[in-house]
Amino acid sequence: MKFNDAVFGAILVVLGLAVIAHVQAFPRIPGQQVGPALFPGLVALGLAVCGAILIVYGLRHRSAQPWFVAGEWTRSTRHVVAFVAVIGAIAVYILLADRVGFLIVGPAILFVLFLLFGVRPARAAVVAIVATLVIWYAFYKLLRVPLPWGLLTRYAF
Amino acid sequence: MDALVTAFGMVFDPGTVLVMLGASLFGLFVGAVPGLTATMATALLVPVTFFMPPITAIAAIVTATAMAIFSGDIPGCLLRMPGTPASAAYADEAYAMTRKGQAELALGASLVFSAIGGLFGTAVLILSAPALAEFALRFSSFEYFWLVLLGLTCAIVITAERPLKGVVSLLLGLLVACVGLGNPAGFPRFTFGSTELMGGIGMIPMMIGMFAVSEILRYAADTGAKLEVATQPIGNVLRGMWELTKKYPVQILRGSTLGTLVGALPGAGADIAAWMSYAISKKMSKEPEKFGTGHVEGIVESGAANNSALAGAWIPALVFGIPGDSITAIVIGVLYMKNMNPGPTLFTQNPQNIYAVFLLFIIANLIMIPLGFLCIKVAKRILRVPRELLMPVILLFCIVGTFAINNTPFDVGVMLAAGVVAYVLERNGFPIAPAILGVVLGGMLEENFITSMIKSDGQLAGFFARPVAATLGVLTLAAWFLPPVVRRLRPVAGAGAASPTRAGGAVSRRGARRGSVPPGSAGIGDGGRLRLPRLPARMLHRTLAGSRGGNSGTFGGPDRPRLCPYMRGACCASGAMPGRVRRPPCAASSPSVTGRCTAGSPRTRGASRRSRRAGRRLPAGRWRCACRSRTSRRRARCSRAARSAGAHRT
Repeated sequence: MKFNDAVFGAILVVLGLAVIAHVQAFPRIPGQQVGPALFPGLVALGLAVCGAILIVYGLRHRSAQPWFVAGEWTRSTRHVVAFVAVIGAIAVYILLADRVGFLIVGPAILFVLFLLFGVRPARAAVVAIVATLVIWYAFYKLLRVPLPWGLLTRYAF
Repeated sequence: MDALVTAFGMVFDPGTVLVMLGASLFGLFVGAVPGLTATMATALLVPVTFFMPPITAIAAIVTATAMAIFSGDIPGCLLRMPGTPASAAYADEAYAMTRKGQAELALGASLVFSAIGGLFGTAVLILSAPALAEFALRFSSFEYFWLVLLGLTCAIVITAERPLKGVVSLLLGLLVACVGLGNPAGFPRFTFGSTELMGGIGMIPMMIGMFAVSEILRYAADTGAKLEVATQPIGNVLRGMWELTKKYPVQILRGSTLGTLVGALPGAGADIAAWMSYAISKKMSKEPEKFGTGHVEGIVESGAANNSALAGAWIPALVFGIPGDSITAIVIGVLYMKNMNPGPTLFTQNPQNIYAVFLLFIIANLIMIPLGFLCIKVAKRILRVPRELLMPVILLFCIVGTFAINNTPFDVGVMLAAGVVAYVLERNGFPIAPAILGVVLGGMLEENFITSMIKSDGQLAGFFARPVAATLGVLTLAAWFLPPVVRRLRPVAGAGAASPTRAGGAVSRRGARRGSVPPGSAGIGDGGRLRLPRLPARMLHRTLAGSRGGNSGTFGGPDRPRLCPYMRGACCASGAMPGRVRRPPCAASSPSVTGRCTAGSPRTRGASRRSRRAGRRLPAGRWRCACRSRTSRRRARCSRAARSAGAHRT
C-alpha cells in the first residue's frame, strides 16, 4: 500500500492550509502577542511546506514511484478480507457493543476473525467463547470495567 | 535513608512482587512471539496498570519490557526471526550459531549479557539521573523549550531514513497534541463541538492503536510463509558464560555504554542500540571475518546494548519528561495518570518513588536470569503458539483495554484511527517514533514556547539570553542545519579521503541508501564520509520504521529482506557476513546487482520490478531476492527455472 510522495504532499498541503484557515478564528489574548493560534499555526505552516517539498519530490521521481502500489497481499483475497475484517471488527464493536452487549459481540468478532485467519470452525468457536469469557472476567469482574451487557441486560450478574 | 526504606517497602509489597512475576511471564511470552513487540507489551499492560498503585504499575512495565527485550532473542536464535525489533540486529548471527549446534551458547549469551547490560544501564540511571535532576531544577522555560526541541530533533536525525518524512511525522504528532483544551490559553482547539475532544486525544488509546492494532493489521496483510522451529535439544544455557565474560569484558562494557547512551537519546531505543553496537562490535573485533558465521562476540555486545538502552531511556524520561524511546513515551503517559509527573521535582519531593524505580530495575534484571532460563526451556512450545489464534484475541484485548481507560467507545475509535494511520504512514516510509514524541511532547513544547515568548516579550533573542539555553539552542540549530551544509561541502573536502580499508565491508550510509550499488563497492568512495554511528541508524531504521514497534516480527516484514524461498539462510544473508559482502549473496540474483532474481516468470517479474524499487532502499549488503511469489506453484516454477539455470551455487 504505497503511494507516491506527491499524494502525501498534497494531503499535507491541504491539511496545513485548512488548519491555518481554521486557527484564524481563534481569539487573540489582549495585551499579548501570542495566542492559542500561534503554535498550531506554525505546525500547520511546517506541514504545508513539507507537503510542498514532498509534491516536488514525488513528481520528480514519478518514474520510480507510481501513484499507488497496492502491494503483494492485495492480490490475495484471503489477505484483503482479513485486513478489512480487522478494521471492520473494531468498527462493529464501536457501533454494536452498547446495544448488543460485549458477551455477544466479543465471541462473534473473534469467531469471524479466527475463520478468516484459517482456524478450523469447531476450534474457532471454542476459543472465541473461552477467550471472551476470560477477558470479560478479568475486566468486568476483577477490574470493574463496565463492559456493556446490551441485549443480555436482563441476565446481568 | 528513610526514603530508601520506604522504597524497599513499596517494592517488596506482596502485591508488587506478584505483579512483577506475572509481568515477567507476560513479557517473556510477548517477546518470544514474533510480531509482538516490547512496546506492544507496554501498551497492552497500560489498561491493566491503570488499576494498580503507581509503583506496582511501573514495576509491571519495567519487568515486562526487560524480559521482552531478552526473550526477543529466542526466536531469533531458533527461527531466524527476531521476536522484537531489538533482536533483529543479530538474529542471523544467532541462527547461524544454532545451525552450528551452538544454540545453547547463543541463548545463554543473550540471557546473561542482557541481564548484565540491563544492570549497567540501571547503574548509569541511578548515578546520573539525580545529578541531572539537580541541574535541571534551575531550568526555566527557555531551557525546557530548547531541550524538548533538541529531543525532537534527535528523534528525526537518528531514526528517519529521509529526514523530511521524519519531520512530517513529528509535525503530525504535534498537531494531534494541539487538540483540546490543554493549551496555555485554555481555548478549545479543533474540538468541533465534541465534548470528547475537549480533553484532547487520549494518548493511551493512540499508543495502543499505533503499536498493537497496526501490528495486527500487518499480520493480516502478511503473505510470508511459516518458518520451522529448530529441533535440536537445548541443554544448560548458562554453561560457558563465565568464560565468555572473561573473554569479552571490553565488548560487554562497550555495548552497555553505547546502549545506555543511545537509549537516553530521545527517539532511539533498544533496536537502534543493538544495530549500532553490532556494527561497532564487528568493526572493532579482532576476528571480524567470523561475524555472520555464528560468532558469539556480536551477540554478547549487542545483547548487552539493547537491554542497557531500556534503562537509559528512563533517564531523560524521569528527569525531563522527555521519553528516550517509545516504551518510555507510554510510561510518561502512565506517570501522569498516576500523579507522578516526571521532572526534576520528582526527585526532590518524592525520592522514595525514584528509589523504588531504581530498585525495580535492579530486581527485574536479576530475576531475568532464572526466569529467562525457564523460558528458554519451554521456548519451543511458546514458538508453536498459533498466531492465528493469538492475534484476534489480542485485538479484543486492545478494544476492551482501550475502553477501560475512560469507559468510552470514542477511545476505541481513536485506537482504530491511530492504528490505520500508523500502518499507512509506516508502509510509506514515515517513521512512527517522531509522531509519538510529537504527541507526548507537544503540550510541553507549546507551553514552554508560549511562556518563553511572553517572558521575552516576543523577542527571539530572549531564547538565547541564558547560558544553558543558548548552548542548547545552538546545539539544536546545529542539528537542524549542519547536516545539509556538511553534505553540500563534503564531496569537495572528502573526495580524496576515501580509504578502501575503512570502507571495506562496512556498510556506509550512502551505500545503504542505494541498494543498487554492488555491495563490494558500496563503501568505497564514501569511506571518508559518514562512518559507523550514522550508518547503522540508516540500516536499522527499516527495522524500526515500524514503530519501533517494528514489524520485524511479521514474516518477511518490510524491514527485513525477504527470504528467498528456495535458499533460506544462505541467500539474502545479512550484510554482516564477511566475504559475502562483496558479491550478491544469492547467486540467483542477477549480477547486474539489482537484487532481482532473473529466473522469475513473466508474471512474477511485474512484482519484482516493484520490489526491486523497494529493494533500492535496503541497506547495502542486504539482498532481497524478489522472485518470491504468492503461490507455491509460482514459487516452484521460479525455483525450477533458477535451478535449471544452474544459479544456485552457494
